[in-house]
Amino acid sequence: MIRVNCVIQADSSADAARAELERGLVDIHRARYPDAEIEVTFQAVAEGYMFTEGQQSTSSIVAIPLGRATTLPEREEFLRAVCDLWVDVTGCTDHEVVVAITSGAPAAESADSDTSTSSDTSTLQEA
Amino acid sequence: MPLYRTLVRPGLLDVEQRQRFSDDVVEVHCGVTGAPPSFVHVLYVDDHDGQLDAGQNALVFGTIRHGRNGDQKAEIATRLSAALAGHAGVDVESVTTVSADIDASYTMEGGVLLPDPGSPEEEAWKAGTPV
Repeated sequence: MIRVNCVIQADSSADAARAELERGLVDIHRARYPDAEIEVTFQAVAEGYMFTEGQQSTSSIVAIPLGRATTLPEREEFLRAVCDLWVDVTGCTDHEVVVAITSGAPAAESADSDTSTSSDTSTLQEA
Repeated sequence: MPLYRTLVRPGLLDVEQRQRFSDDVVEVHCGVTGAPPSFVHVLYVDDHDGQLDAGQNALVFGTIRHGRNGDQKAEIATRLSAALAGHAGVDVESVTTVSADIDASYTMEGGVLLPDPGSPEEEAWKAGTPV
């Protein structure tokens, strides 16, 4: 089961269009990976709880634990499809949607640092 | 990207303090890395589920592009912990800042795949980034 987590702003156009966004995400995923089930959850963030560039955020963050290896062209096409869905449905700009594949990435070499954890990208999923 | 998910003890920060710390994150992250500020996100979560350890007031978890070195990460962590502790009026030891790397090409923002830090593609990307 692929669990897609969408961080959206409460009372935004994305919040009002949850059903359409969910259908679109399912369609995009199913068209490319018909063997995998997908579940979409939304986390609506109240005003004053998310900031972008130091200002009240209008952004959505879509974290997709794809769980499989992808080539760069595959990733770009997949991520663009999700980005375009968000822009089309919500009327946002492409700067107001962050789409990330949060698993299936190769382990990036982590620089030495006491403050650095691993390169496990699944952490974004909890955003 | 980056995304700094900030888990705080409920009631630790009011909206003005969250605003000020968000400004700090932009200043610190971009000052240390040279990243464009328009891509810096800070998400606050009140810890109603008891995820924080006993005595811990906040956990700042940055998801950042792979390629920053250890000194950069350490400076970001030190400065952000101090900033948040200062705003909240708590001991800096009760604030933890950590980070995780994500391969840039697994994220699309602004309609393009993010470039690797320091790559030639990043310069072109920055040039086209709204500031």
